[in-house]
Amino acid sequence: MNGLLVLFDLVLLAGIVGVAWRCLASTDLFRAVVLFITFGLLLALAWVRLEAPDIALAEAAIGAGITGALLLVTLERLRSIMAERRSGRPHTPPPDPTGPHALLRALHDPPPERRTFIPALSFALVVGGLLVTALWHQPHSTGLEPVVDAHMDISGVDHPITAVLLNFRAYDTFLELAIVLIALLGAWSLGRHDLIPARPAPGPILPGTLRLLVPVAIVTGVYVLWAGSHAPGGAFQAGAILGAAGILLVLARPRQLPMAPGVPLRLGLTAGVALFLLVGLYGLVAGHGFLGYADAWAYPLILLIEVAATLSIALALVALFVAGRPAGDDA
Amino acid sequence: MNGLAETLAHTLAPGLLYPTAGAILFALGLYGLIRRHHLVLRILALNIMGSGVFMVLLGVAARGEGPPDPVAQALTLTGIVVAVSATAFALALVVHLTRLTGHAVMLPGPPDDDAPVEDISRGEHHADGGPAASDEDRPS
Amino acid sequence: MIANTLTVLLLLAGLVFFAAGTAGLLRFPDVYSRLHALTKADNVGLGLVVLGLMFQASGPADILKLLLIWLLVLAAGTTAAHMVAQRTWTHGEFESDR
Repeated sequence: MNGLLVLFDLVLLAGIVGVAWRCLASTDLFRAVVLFITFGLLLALAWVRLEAPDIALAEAAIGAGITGALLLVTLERLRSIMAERRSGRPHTPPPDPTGPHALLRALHDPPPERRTFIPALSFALVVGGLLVTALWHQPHSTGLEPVVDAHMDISGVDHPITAVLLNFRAYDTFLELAIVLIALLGAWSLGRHDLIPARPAPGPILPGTLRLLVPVAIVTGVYVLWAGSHAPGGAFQAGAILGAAGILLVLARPRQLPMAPGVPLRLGLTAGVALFLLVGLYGLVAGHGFLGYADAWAYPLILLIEVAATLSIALALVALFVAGRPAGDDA
Repeated sequence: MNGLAETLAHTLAPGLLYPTAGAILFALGLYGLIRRHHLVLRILALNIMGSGVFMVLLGVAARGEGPPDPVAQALTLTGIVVAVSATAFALALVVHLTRLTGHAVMLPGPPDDDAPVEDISRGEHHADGGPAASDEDRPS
Repeated sequence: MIANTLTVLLLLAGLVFFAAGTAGLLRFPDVYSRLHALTKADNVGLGLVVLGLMFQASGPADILKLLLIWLLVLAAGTTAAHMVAQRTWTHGEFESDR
């Protein structure tokens, strides 16, 4: 049995490293992105093997799914920009970017020059060798698991990872939500969003499937959010699922995005950070320290913050996919 | 013989195997980051480096007999969300750069201070050159 | 014991279908036949895997969740295959296929 597990580990890791290698060695960007999505899915398997189902959920939804969608839409944007520049009419709406083999050079990277081979290889080997040596000589310790376990009863939730994320190390999560918001502000600062260079799929298949899938995605998202208090799941996974549903909706009607109402959109985007900050400040005033909760209030407060964080993350992921401020918005 | 089997079992335990693979992924990403020029590929390389770090963290967290360390897992979860935000921002920057200069390639070597800015966006002036321009606007 | 045997048998049967679908994906010449191999074989394979796992479920809720997973993958896989085929029909194969 143990031998089989070791075999599984070796095959999985060889697959992961091999896919990563093919991804970085490919001259065709589309192929590299598809391999990267595969890489993310294999990683999710590895996380399951390492007894980290939360991370596996997040990796499959965010690392493979959302990142993959972002990369693919970026490739389409690059292709469309290149096609626009070549056609010499810079202010026309994006032409059909996938005409007969339209300018795939935009999505092509020539093989690297030979002269960088030796320096890059030796540098990577030295860094990797040092890392491996350090990891092999690192003394084994039990980590913080006993400490977390001993304090679970005051955390307000039953799932250790949620307890760490939203109670013991709430500071990290607060700053993480802030980073998501800052990334979005950065993307918005680059200008108003243009048309997504995707054509609406003709035929009833995609809208019909979406009518089925989006309600299921919403139910699943809320379920994953609620399950986070006692089982794998939580705000990030739920936000990723809802964000994916939003991205699908955007893709189904790329030419007629609804005019996003400015104020509610901004309120939703900042809800996670703002609520977290308010609760943290309240804890400071009430004497529990910044981002501390009274024991009796821990569960409702955590749930409240998680709902707001889910909303913010989902909206931010969709907004990052659309990239750029909403149209007709001169704020 | 027994000692060898013990060493092998120790080496192949997930607590050591996965961090080693994570270090390999990190080095691989670093290699790709140095050698490839297209910015999207560089972002992919950075993401692969990040995944290597996550693998080291989770592998170390899974060491020992008891349940894995939840703090390391929570840190990794945070890291994944931060990685996707940074990736999205970086991709938005790449699209913007391409819109301004006509290519999504990091120029090799330090920027030449004397060169006029337009030199970077040569492709713009050759835009009407048809397919022949496509070889020129890619820096060699 | 019977449940475990059934699970193993069904998982193995499912894996055979997955292997066949993957072989088709790698060996078939064009997008349509690849899609054909992938969607048909993988849907049956996943169905068998899900059926096998149902014997390990702890209650009706788990069984329903597994069933839901299969149905969702069917719907999503069908849509994705349709869109890939449609794009290929209107625009030709991806250049990177060669």
